Amino acid sequence: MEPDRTSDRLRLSVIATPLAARQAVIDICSHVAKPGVAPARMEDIRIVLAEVLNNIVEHAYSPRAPGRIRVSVTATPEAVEVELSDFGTPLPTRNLSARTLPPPNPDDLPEGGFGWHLIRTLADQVAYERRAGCNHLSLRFDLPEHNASVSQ
Amino acid sequence: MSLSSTVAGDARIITVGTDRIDAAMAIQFKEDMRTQTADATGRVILDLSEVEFIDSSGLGAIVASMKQLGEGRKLDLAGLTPIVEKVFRLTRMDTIFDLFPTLDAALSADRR
Repeated sequence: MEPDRTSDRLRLSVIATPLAARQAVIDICSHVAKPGVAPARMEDIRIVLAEVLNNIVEHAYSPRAPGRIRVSVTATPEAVEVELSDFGTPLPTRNLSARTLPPPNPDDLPEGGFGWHLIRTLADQVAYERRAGCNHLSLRFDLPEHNASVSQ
Repeated sequence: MSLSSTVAGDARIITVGTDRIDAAMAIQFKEDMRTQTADATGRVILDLSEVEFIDSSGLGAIVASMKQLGEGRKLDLAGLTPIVEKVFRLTRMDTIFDLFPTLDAALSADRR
């Protein structure tokens, strides 16, 4: 599974297991990390990538038959765009609808359901499409620091 | 999963010796926490200062670890690094746990 690097694009084909997902996050972040990307923004990207990949590993595919996840990452000075596709079960679209997370109830604490909240909060754009039996998820992270550095 | 346990007064300190708590290890973390806290009766402090990354599965495992301590008992968290702090804040779990910047700050806080 050699990464294909053409210009500033990184393409990966990731087997849908927790360990491969972990490695993919590391690979993507090292591709994206540049002096112009603020550390806090890198944190956001890392958190969201881990969540979207784990969601595919845990919910789209069966652990007994992990399929492939195709990932394409494009990094420009203005933004980082990530596209993920898989052949697993469709994403319930309610996960995409923005809603505020209610304050946790101390007497009945949730142990899950945080992932999509983190994704929607930290990514600037999230788009999902089910097309020809395939899930396509697109994420965009704006890099506003770019404008600040240009004006200096 | 690398957890180590020390006693300070009536507090049990559990130190996480890995740099991440993520989906690949969340179940093991929860089980190891159960082992480490099985005989603890007082305050339990989880030292996260070596953990530089956590995802929602890891967060869920920490919540589960507090719940398995038993009725009404709290788990205090110390030494949160930037990503860990961010995940707790964005999920509002910072309202459930007492967070301390360092282990020393956790130990010097009066809990009685």
